[in-house]
Amino acid sequence: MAYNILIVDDSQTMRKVILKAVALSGFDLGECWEAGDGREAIEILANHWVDLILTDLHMPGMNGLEMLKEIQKDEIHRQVPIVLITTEGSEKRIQEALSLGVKGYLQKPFHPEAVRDILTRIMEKADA
Amino acid sequence: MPEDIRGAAISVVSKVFETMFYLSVETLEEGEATEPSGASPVQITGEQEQKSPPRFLRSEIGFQGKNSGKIRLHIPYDLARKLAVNFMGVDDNDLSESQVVDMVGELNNMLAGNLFSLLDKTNGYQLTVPVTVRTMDLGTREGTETSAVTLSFNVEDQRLKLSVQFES
Repeated sequence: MAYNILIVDDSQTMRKVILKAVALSGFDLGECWEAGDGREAIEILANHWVDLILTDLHMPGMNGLEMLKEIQKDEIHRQVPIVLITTEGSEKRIQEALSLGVKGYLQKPFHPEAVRDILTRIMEKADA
Repeated sequence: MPEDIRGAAISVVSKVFETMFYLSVETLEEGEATEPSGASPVQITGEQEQKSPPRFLRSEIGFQGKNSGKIRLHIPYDLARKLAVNFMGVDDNDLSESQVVDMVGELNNMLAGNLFSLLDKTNGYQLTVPVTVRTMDLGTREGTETSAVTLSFNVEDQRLKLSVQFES
């Protein structure tokens, strides 16, 4: 089964690198959408079927935590697994994100193998 | 605090370069980190900026937590371009200057995020969005204040500089 993903990061370069890491990891990739902040991501979610969200926290405009709070308000979108890929490493902010439904966390910098491992684990749980 | 930052910054720079670019970095001693003669500290802007190729890029991120201040990364443009090619896995001919600038901002973001996570694992720091500009030099005169920690590194036979400036 191919999974549609949404990558949310204000750096276009980082979005490309994350997509490349996902593709190289052997993850069964369907369609991929990209958003530069939380607001763009919410708009994409409203118009496309997304199986998995990979998001940064630290973004201008609507940041990652604000986006997570918005997603939690929606009965359908709150079911979509979310993985944080961020430079943020403080326990306080990670705990806050986990309390808002985040299923996994990867700190930048990362190896492509780490992306594969976390995506595989999360999608296996989601499909179970 | 500055002494805590020095060791942590060296560790973070090594980790980020080895993980993201598969490159090793060498920390330079102060005497090895002087500016080449003839370099100008003038920052170029406007029309001049658009016409001439950049020599260096400077990325700046503000931080606020136990302390507040700015972290700045100064990097030769040629090195930044090589890193961007490596990072993005694209051909040099397909790489735009804006992508190089974006990559340097993200690199500084990774350095800052990892550094301040080490310095305060519990609460962390609030970071501003990176602002990256072209400059004509490596910023030798910046980061020399007593409230700053400045480190220079050798990467691929080119020198980059990281400085952490505290607000009093």
